[in-house]
Formats: sequence, C-alpha cells, structure tokens
Amino acid sequence: MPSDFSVVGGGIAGLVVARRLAMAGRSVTLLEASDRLGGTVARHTVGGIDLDAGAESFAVRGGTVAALAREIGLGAEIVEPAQDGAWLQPVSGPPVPLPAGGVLGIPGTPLASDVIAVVGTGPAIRAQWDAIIPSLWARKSLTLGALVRRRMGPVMLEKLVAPVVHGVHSMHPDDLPLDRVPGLRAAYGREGSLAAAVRWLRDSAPAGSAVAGIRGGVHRLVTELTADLETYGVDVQLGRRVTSIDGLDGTVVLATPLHPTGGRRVVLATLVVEAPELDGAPRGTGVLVAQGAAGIRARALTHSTGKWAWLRERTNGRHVLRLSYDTEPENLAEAARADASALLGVALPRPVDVARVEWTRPDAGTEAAVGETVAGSGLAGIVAQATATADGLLGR
Amino acid sequence: MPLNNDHPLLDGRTGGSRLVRAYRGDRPETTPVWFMRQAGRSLPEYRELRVGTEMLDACLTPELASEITLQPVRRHGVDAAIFFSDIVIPAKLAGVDVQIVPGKGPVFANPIRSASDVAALRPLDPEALAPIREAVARTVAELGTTPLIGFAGAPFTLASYLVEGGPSKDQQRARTLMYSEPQVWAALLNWCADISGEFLRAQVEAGASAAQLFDSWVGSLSEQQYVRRVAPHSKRALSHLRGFDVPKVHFGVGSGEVLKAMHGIGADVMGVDWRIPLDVAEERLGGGVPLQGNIDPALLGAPWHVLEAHVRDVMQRGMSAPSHVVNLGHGVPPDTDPDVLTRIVELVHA
Repeated sequence: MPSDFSVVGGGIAGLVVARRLAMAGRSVTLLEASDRLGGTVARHTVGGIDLDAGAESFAVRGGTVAALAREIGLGAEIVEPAQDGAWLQPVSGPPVPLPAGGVLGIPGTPLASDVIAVVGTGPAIRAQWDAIIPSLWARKSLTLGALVRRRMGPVMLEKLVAPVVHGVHSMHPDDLPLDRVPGLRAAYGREGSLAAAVRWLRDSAPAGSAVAGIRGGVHRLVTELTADLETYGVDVQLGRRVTSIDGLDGTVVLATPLHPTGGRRVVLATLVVEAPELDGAPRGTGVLVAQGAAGIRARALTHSTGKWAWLRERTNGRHVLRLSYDTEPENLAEAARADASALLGVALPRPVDVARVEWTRPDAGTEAAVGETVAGSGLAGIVAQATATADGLLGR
Repeated sequence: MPLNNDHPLLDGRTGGSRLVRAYRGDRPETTPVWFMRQAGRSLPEYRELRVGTEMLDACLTPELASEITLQPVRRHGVDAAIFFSDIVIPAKLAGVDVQIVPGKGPVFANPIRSASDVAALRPLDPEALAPIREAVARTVAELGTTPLIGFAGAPFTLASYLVEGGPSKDQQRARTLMYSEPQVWAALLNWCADISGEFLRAQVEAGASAAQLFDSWVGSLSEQQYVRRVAPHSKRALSHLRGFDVPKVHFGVGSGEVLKAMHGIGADVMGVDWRIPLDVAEERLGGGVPLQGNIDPALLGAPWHVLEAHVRDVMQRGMSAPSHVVNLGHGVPPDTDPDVLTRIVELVHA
C-alpha cells in the first residue's frame, strides 16, 4: 500500500515531520541516505564518555524544543548550562570575558567597560554613533554584518560580533541574513538604534539562560523520536539516497536538499583530558576566537564539563573540551591540544582520548521544505519550522 | 471488511441480546452479568475435562476450548460466554516457546531482552489461527442467542511476560526496557499488538459478538508511561478490528490512574477493577461510557449477606453510567465456590 507521505531526509526536521504526520494517522515513509537517523544531532563515545557529536544545546526561544522534549518524555531532562558565560579571544592579548548584555556580540551599551576591554576606546566611541545615526529602512537582503558595520563600525563588527556569530552560526556576519536573528529587524525598526534594539530584546527575553541542553546529551531527542517512528509505524528506509522525487509515494516532503550545493565544512575535535586545573572553569563555558587571533587555529572552544553539570558528574574528574575548525590543521589532535592550552591558559597533558568529527553545514537554499537549509542553523528554528510544516500538511 | 451476514451479531441471534445492548450504551430492563475467568479453573467439570491435558494444548484443541467456554454458560446462566484461551496463545502460535507451569503461570524459554531478540520474532501466520476459528465457530453454534466475547491480552501485559520470561511482581525489567531501549520496546509492543490484534480479529470473524482486550498489569505504570509507551500500541491492537461494528471492551487491573487514557485507545466499554466505585469511574471517564464490573473477588468468600449488599451497591453505582454489565473487578479466583457465582447471576437478574 503506498504511503500518504514520503519524507526525504532523516535529520531532526525529517524526524519531527514524519512523527507528526504518523501520529495523525497518516502512513509515512522516511528515506535517509546514510545508515543512521538524526543528521547533525548524533552521539559518539570519547574516552568512554557518551557525548553529543554535533549539536549540544538549543535556543530556549519560543519554547519549541522544550515542547518537543516534553512530548517525547524528556521534559524533566532539560538542563541549563552553567551561568559563568563564555570568553572571547581577541586578535591580540589575553582572553577576556564576553561582554554582558549583548545579542550575538552586539553590545547593548557600547561604552561599557567590558566592551571597551575588547574593542578599545576609539571603536567603542564609534559604536556609540549608533544612538544618533538616523535609522534607515532595513532592506530585505540586509545582512547582520552590513547593519553592524554601518551603525557601530568595522572594528566592533570584526572584534566582537564576528567571533560570536561565527561561534553560533559557523559563518561571518556578512553572510548571515538579518532575518536569521529572531526579532532583531522588528526591534531595530521600532527602537531606531541597534543598541536600543539589543537592550529591548534582552529585556523582553525570559529570565534564565538563552540556551538549554538535555541531561545525557541532545542526541537523546533522536533516540526518542526514532522510537516514536517505530511506535507509529513509519517505514524507515536507511541507505536510500534520493536524487529525484519521481516514483516516491504520496506527498513528498524534502527535509534535505536533493542536490546539495557547496556547504561549509566544520571539523570538531573533542579532547578528554586529565587536568585538575580546569576544575574551576577558568574560561567559563568556553572561548570564542576572533579571526586573526595570533597562533590560534580553532574558531571556538567549548569547555563541555564546565558548561554542563550533568556531564561533569559522569567523567570521573576528567574534562571534555571541544574545538571547532573551519580549516582542519595537520595533526588535528596536537593542534587542538595546543589551541586549548593557549585559550584556557593551562598547559594540557596528552589527552586520554581524542575524536574527530566532520560536519558539512549546507548552504541556505529553497529546494528543501524543512531543515537547516531553509530554517537556518539551530534546533529551535528547525523544530519550529518542521512542526509548522507538518501541521500545514495536515491542514491544521 | 464488514462482518459476514451469518455472523451472530447480524443474523438476529445476539444483536438484541442484553449484553450487546448494554455494551452499546442502551440499558436493558435486566442488567446483564458474566464473570472474567468464568471458564476454567473454578469449575469441577473443567478440572475433570482437562485431566491429562496441558493448559495451552486445551486452548488449541477446538473441541476442548469450546466445551470449556460453554460450561459456565450452562451452569450459571450468565449473559455471555468468554472465549477460553490465554494471552500467550498468539505468541505460541507465532512460534514462541512458552509453557504454562501449574501454580506459576506462563514461562518463556527465551525471554525477549534485546534488539536481536525482537528482530527474531516472526509475524503470526493467519493459518496458525485455524484452531481458534474452529473453536469459536463450534462455540457460537452451541450458544444460540448468548453472545461470545472474544479475548486477547493487551501489548503491554503480553510484552511484560515476554521480557520478564514469566509472571513478575512489578514488571520491572519491562519498565526498564521501555526507557533503556525505547525503540526496541516500541518494536516489541508493535509485534505484540499485531499478534493479539489478529488473534482477536480471528475470533470476531468466526462469530464473537464483542471483543475484550485485557491489560492486566497496567497498574504498574504511571499515566505518562502509559500514554507515551503503551497506549499507542494498545490502539494498534484494536485497529485490527477496523471495519467490524463490534463492541470493544478494555480492562486493566489497577487502572485508576490511566482509566481515561485506556478508554482513549478506541474502547467502547470500560471494565473497572474493584479499586474504584463505578460512579467514580464514570466521573473519571467524563461520563457517557458504558461500564463493566466491579464486584470485589475477595468478597466471593464472604457470608452471602455481605456479598449480596456489595453486589447491590455495585449495581446501584452502575446506574450512574449509561449502561452497566455486572462482572467481577478481576478474574474468578481458583478456589471460588461456583454456587456463589450462580447465586450472583440470580440476584442480578432478579
């Protein structure tokens, strides 16, 4: 009997859509090219510790991921990261705490001392112009980089905003459409200045952390979603690369592009180390690296055991560090150890174990109906858009 | 696919019976009554008949299963026969090695605990159900206007036996598996749902006028566990009856927490155990659901005047539902004096 729906792509978006359609009583076939479900949400074991190999947190905004977690029995497992905050490795000098009160590095108060510590006094004064430059209509194609450069100057953009944006989206702000920053365009239009928009967004955000995780790892979402596909009788076919929708059953939902173009490669190095000096989390939850920072090849470092209390309880005193690279250095393990030592200010010993994971972040495109290429990176947006798409297909 | 025109529900034999009317929410002048586990162990004529025959072999011998099903109807004058079988029968017919150990219950040679154990389970060949169809057909031919109720175990209870390897106190291994390996759990419960569903469907096709799904161990679950890990599979079991206009009864022991959710799987009638009075059950269900139950089996051994007062109270509380089928709140205990059951039938019918 042919299925009512064929969902192409078994990443989070495909899983969410397939589950929702099947729970509504529709027959669904899910086609996944690889041998596993979950896409960039995955698990790996490093030094005997089960860890997220890809996404390790999600934005709290909108409550979409939390709602999904509750639906699939993980509501009680949602955890907040440590409140220490992240640090920034500037182009020169030692790392500094990331200024408080910003959105994606854009300061709410450009002349705050923690901002001046990163960009210097002159550029901070330049950024303050934002308060008096007449606001212009932000055209649809405007990127975040262009807007920040115009209002706050190039140094603020490159020294503070770019490292944070890169840490979150793996891309430069000049490549990030303004609309990928939820609420910013509307707030800017209303408030008339970028800093005021940032302050408004911060004030209107719910108390608590902007991101959250799942005790045991975000990959538990995949375990539970996969079980639901089983429960509701979705026909899951692994190893099925689809290049044309011809011949697929029913309504086809593309949860991955049929013809992926380009994409940015990101390599993650995960180190498990014996380093009691890290017990105090000297760089909080991690360090974002400004482009051009001398001697550092990583773009960001996450101190996973500093960030997640649940993880620290499972590592027997060892520490888990995760570094991301746009360009993979030769001898990744050694480069990662050297970068981590420099960023954390601790001479790290040879790691107990090292893992390498490579992800290709797809370019934005319109070919797919759901998933990262249309919803942008980040589970919150992907889950919300996939849920809405499924509801639309069900006529709700 | 609809029922055949010569099915007892359609050819005038049972469609207007007290039981079927009550199951459909239409209260007859005389309240119908039957007893869970009325067939079998409490009757001397059963013990005599079964001498030298294994329990599961008796279930799969059409003459024996039919005769055992008919015995309590003859003896007590109850308003329904319940098909004599066991919840593990569909698993046995699908090739699973299981035996009933006297005094203990079903024991599985190879408990199901891993993905590969589940993957090795084979679907139930419809041909294997031939003895069930034959036993039902024989029974229905004898019953005349008394309806036969089909019988099957719900996926959770059946899966619990399979995972534990036999009866257990609180189904702990099973409940662990549902968390440690949710996908394996889902696959196992789907398998159970499909074999139990086909077992039930065979009985209905062959002449059963109603179907009851038993989830005996549902009381060990929280509502959240039930809704997420169990209910979708129970619904799947009942979906095998899609297209048949036959009343579907659902019953669980200790179901207070999940009564409403159990009804939500697509049941028409809710069986209620002895722990909650019928008027409370009616309230928990939100009203409008025909009820079955719920004489406390423990009172079967009490002095008659105590039992009589209890039965009258059950009937009185049953008036709060649209219709009521008197039954026990659990199966007939093996040591029950059969005459007490006959007396209850007389009282209910009076």
